[in-house]
Amino acid sequence: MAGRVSVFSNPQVLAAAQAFVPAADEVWRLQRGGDAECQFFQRAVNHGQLITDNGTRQGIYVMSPSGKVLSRVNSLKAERVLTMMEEGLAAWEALPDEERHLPKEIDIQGEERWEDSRPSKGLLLERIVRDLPADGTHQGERASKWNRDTVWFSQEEVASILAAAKEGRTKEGGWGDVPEHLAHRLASFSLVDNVYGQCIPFDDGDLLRVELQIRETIQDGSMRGYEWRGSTLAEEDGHWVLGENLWTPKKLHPHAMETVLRGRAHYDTRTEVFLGVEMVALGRRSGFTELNSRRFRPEPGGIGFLFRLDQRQWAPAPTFLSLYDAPWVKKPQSGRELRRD
Amino acid sequence: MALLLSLTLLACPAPAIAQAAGQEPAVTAETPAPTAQELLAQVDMPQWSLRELNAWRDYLLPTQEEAAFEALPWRNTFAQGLQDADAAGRPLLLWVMNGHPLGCT
Repeated sequence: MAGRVSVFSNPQVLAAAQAFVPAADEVWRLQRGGDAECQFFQRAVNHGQLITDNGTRQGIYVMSPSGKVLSRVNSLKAERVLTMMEEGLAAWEALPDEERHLPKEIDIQGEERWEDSRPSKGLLLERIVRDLPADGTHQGERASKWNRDTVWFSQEEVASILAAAKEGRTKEGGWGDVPEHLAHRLASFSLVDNVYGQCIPFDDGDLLRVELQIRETIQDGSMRGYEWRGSTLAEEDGHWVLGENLWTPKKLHPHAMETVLRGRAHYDTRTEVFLGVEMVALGRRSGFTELNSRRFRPEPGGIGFLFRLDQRQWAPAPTFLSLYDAPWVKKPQSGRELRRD
Repeated sequence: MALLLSLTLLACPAPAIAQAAGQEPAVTAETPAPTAQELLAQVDMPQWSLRELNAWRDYLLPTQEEAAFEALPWRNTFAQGLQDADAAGRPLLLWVMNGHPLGCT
């Protein structure tokens, strides 16, 4: 995560990258999975053998399409990555043409990925998280660490949210309650402290307060304007009930999150598409989880989340998509992807 | 005097030493550690209104420098990267992390 800024925002690295085809992917699936793509990766980075150990293969590689690793480094220092890229490029230039190409006999396509569950006409949100400045104002010094995730809702789920807004018209203030399981999706899987890297979700038993409401504020032809409001409070209750998966913690550390949400949205009823969504959740967090370096800075502090339309053609699946209580989520067929050995 | 103070402090239980030094009492077996919710209460909840939505959005969004990595035409999967590198006749620059580098990692 830090490498986004310390390495891939470096002008020299960006310039040097022009000589390559850049690709990014999730390493756990590649190094543990059983499909052709995963096996090709494993043989490439593990001296021709499938990977059977648990050592991480995270890092930055220069590789020929034939699967030959030409150089590799796992570093957050731009200078080291730049040197690795130069060495890799030199090795590529010395590589005979017959050793450069992707073998024609190998079908490199992977099996289904979690990204295949991406709803075609739902609500796809990008979620940004960052610590808040010490003075608690948006004019304060910007915290340097940030992280990103995605949140997905299907078309049917969007319909249920808009129905809540319609129902709210008859209530005081016009506020309707977003269906509980969708509000819980945000509180459990998105309003989590992964500022310093991957973390674990909250389960339903951790959710002490989840309120999310929507009301219609604008009707103009087929255009509708909406406001969001809500609040959440979650505290790790010491019980892990989310089963065995990638994030199952060895130990549950006390941690908590409290937020207040506000936002706006615009929707076209004719095309059934959101034209804009911006929702901010500001609050406070305490404690840490074992999967990131917050444990070195565990003191409580302010935290902020931004949800907005994800305009990318392709985006990684939400980290906790496999835990969504939703029939449209298709588990990859291989079944190996999210399982520990 | 310094010796007397030291001896006095040595004779005191830990919480008393902390209080004598003007600090919060230390956590002992008799003093349960604060819960995660109690720790939350040490921080003020941000006070804000919908009028500040844009300002908070701008605070939270990555800066131009923080988002500079997005200028590269990242292929989203290893397989796509291999295929495109082969077609382009160039080496692959592969960035792999626990959690997709273009998402939550």
